[in-house]
Amino acid sequence: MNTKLNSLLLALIIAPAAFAETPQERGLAIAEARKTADVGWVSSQSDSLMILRNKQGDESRRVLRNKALEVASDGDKSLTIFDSPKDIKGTAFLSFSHNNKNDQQWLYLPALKRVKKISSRNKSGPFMGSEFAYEDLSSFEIEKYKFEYLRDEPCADLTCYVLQSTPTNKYSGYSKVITWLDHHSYRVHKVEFYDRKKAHLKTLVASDFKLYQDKFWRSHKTLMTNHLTGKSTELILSNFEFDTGLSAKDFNKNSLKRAR
Amino acid sequence: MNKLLALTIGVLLIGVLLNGSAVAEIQVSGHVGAQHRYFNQTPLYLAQESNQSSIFGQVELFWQSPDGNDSLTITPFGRKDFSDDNRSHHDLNEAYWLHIDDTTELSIGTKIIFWGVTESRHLVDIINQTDLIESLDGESKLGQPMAQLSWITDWGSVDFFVLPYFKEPVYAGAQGRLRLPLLVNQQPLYQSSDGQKHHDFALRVNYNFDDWDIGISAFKGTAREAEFLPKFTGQQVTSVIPLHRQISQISLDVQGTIDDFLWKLEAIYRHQDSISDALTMRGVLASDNYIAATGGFEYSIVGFNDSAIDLGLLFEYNYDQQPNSLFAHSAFIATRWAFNDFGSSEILAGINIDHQNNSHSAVVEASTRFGDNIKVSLEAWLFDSSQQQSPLYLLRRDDFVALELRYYF
Repeated sequence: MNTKLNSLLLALIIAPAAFAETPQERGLAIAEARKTADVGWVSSQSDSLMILRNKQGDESRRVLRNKALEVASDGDKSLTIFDSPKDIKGTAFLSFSHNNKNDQQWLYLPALKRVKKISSRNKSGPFMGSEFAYEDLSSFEIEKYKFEYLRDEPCADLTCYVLQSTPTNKYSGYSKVITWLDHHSYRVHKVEFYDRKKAHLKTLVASDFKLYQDKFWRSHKTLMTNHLTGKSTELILSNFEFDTGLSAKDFNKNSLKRAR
Repeated sequence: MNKLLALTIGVLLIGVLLNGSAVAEIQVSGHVGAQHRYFNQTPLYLAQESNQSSIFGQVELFWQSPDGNDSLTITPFGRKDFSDDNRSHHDLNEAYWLHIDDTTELSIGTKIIFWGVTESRHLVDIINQTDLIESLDGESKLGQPMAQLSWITDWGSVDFFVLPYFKEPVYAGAQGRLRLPLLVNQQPLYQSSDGQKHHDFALRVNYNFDDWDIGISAFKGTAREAEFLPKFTGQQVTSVIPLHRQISQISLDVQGTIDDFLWKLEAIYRHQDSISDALTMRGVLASDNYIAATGGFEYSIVGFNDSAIDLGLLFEYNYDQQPNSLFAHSAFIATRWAFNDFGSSEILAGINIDHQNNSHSAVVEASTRFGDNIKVSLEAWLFDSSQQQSPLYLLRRDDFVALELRYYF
């Protein structure tokens, strides 16, 4: 009896709130749920094959490895190391994502033993010739966007929230980003990127999801297509490992220089 | 030096023996290549040649302990030049053991360390000897024997170096271009009675916060660059003798990213131990204390003209209190094109303007990759000077184009 009454009272309190929720509030709630769904992975490692394709279908391949470290109260840290082509072997990219200030990104060029800083403006530029921009490689943080829920739509066998995110950082190359997230576990299935001129610039499609540690979904295949140039970049990820003992010492300018 | 190499190889072999599977874990990589330089103007000196061909190669051997806390790196380099015997040279660029802890790193052996942020001059970069005969841009280095202890913190790092041995630079021979009018005597003089075995020390603090990277360094020891003393045979000056003085230097390098700009500054204050006031007065030796600085910016245009090209515009100004420095008062203006294509093609084109001496030099560096393993680069230098007091006057007939092909493995 008591329980029933409580439920009823709860429904009375929550329901009006739910109806009164603006698309912005709902968008933010979805984004927060996405973030919460992926909390607690601590650290991870994976291998990647990056396939660049031009309009004519010619291919160029790069082999790389990724290491990532979850940072509780701020954006995450990541290190990407190139193994091939051989002339850029040892080239490594260190990224510190931040919630409330500009991300910090550095690129190490082994031939010159030199660490180059990526300027804020360069973040919208292509990462090592791919269709991914430097900013696409930083971690997803709530503070970086303003959100708006647009609609629900079927995606694969599921239903997806269609969410519009507007970057708050003035250096972003995007005017808006539209993301398809499934109701089931807030996995990103598709992203449309709109450039500063509001033109549909790129689309990312993620697939081959696998669940790790009963909690963390990872896509093993991402395809980024540039609609303006007809070029695309496919990223095939493998050998995911979690909690491998990586710590902050593996993500600094010193470790960047000796990354292999 | 051979002792050090033998020691490093010994340690490597012990590592291999202790861990049978380690044999498979030695990573081998490197490149071999060929270069041709063509000088289109008649040389200033009789023996000099206009076509200079060479072949070169570098191998890197790398081994890491299973826990990743210890590693060995060995990187020998060599070049065979078919015109200038002096440019046929080899060097152990790297041969060191590295141990990593949670907050400290220790390296023992020969390494290459780069400090600095600017493009037109590498002013604060002092640990290694510059291999100028290898390339004119000052970015080729000889390996420096050292013990390096680094302490890594949240805000950056502190590095301490002991440098027990000095590597002498290599100078062009009679056939070589890009040289002084007189040949350089290959037996340098040292101000310190310890000569090449003087122990140098260096300390560096790296501080990173928000959009700023700051480096403060101190160095005490043998000057990497030489000053040149005339060598007399009777009344005649027949060659020059390099002199390496004892110096103390403090330096600052700063890099900040603000809006579309990457701001850069390098500055040094150098004290050189006095040798002869008379020679300093006559301009043979540099003054005992001086400052020098290079500062400027790189402005980036991402997606130039709606393409995938990143265009960088660079401006730097060089100031040096030594009046006969190439960088006493000079401006550097350049553009850098990164095409972001399959071949990672890049072009850097720049001009150095020494407005006091009305002298200029221009450089173009372009490179692209074919397939997975072949890289082709083209480099061109032009020198324009009619002022005898300008250091560039010495190179006024040495404009050249160099084509290089490398195979990476």
